[in-house]
Amino acid sequence: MAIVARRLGLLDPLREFVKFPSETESNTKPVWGTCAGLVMLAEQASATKQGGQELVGGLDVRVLRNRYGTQMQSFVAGLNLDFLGEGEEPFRAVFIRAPIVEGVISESQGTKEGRVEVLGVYPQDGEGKGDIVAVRQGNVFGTSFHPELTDDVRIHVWWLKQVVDAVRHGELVLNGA
Amino acid sequence: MATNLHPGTNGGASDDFTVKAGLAQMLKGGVIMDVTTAAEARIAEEAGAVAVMALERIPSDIRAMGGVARMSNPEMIKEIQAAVTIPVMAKARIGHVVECQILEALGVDYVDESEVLTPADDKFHVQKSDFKIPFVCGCRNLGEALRRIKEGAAMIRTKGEAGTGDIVEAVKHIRTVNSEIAAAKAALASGGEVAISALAREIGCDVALLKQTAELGRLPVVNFAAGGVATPADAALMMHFGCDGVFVGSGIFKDAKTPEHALKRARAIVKATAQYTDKQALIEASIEHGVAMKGISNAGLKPEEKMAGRGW
Repeated sequence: MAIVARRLGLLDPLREFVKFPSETESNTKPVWGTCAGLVMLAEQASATKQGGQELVGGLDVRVLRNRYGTQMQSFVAGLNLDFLGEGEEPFRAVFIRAPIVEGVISESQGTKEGRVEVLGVYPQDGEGKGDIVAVRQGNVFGTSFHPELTDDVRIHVWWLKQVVDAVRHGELVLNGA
Repeated sequence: MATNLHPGTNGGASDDFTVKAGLAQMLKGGVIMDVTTAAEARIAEEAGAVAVMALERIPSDIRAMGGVARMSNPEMIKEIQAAVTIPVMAKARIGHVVECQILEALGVDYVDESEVLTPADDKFHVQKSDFKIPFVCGCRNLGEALRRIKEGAAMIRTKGEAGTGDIVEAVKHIRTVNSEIAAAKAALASGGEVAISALAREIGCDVALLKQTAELGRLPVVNFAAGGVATPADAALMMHFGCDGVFVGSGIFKDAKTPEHALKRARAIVKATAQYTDKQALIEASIEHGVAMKGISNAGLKPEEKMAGRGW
């Protein structure tokens, strides 16, 4: 993905888009990445291809690629996602050769706003803390799984509300309110 | 596209099929390359391939050497799996359930039940919904595509004529699929269920899948081009006909003078597939690609030399 983005001259514009507000904006633009998109939005990645790989960045996290293995270990799991609201039904999350967030990186670089919030955890076998599978930092949001592959639109609806809020907030700041 | 992923008649549980077909969705717009060694797999990965197809000989060499073509040696597949982080696919013979089981146990990401290998069963294909591993299968027409999906295939490709470097058969197959989908849409619009049932009998496929295809206006799973793609322009041509992505078999490594030449070819085909409507990009890709494989004209092949006729 990064190789093709680099060749198409998209990698630097993407970094610009994700990490830096334009002159008419007070915040960075809302961005959401799923699966490989989450990998691209991370500042660091483990288990990359030989020689490493380029990333867009935006989230102060280190991701672990292919956490669960090959396609044979891909799966669907019900996740309890509190950000969707109290008492919501579990979200049927599709994990395909999915990455997870391995850890939060302490030192924040660039213009990123706020801290990394963990929004979703996959409690594998009920042991330990579970795997971090949804995070947000400022206007940058990432999920290990693929809400775009199912008919459940709750995360999309939530996300669009975040976008609207971010745009409104930006307008208020720019208007000096 | 979410609703496309649930052919309820598929046989497997809906979640399983979502996971199988979902991986193919993630490969859209990309190129899958045939590789025979870990070094070739690394070239493909660095060129931006979305996946590799591990096989012992590229189709043009299978064609030249003759004999029986079978599943690749697992040792070679393991080496390729260890070398790259992109998905690794591998081919099994048509109807060879045990080759599929071996590939599944090896943990490859996709199995291609392929006419490029010598068929193991002259009546039946593998019942693919019995497997956890997803399958891609070739087709020449809509009936064949929907028969494979009914058996559990989560991805389809045109058959083309593998190993020739001649695009004519792949074009014929995608044109046939497209025109039959148009016919199914027209049948549903004018005659409803009865007309769809009649058409399904005629082309030999499942009624519910044909109706779903007519409603969607496309196959219910991802559909790639394959069989004869030799140049960036060939890849872009297949995208122009509505394919979701491209398999390149012999076109990368056949007659490549050096690994660097193969890398350039691979990069050029990735670029042309991603930017298939951008004429300037296609000029650049064509220059970068350099000399293409020599190839064999499809028109000069005897019927028994053609691979596309394998499959039922």
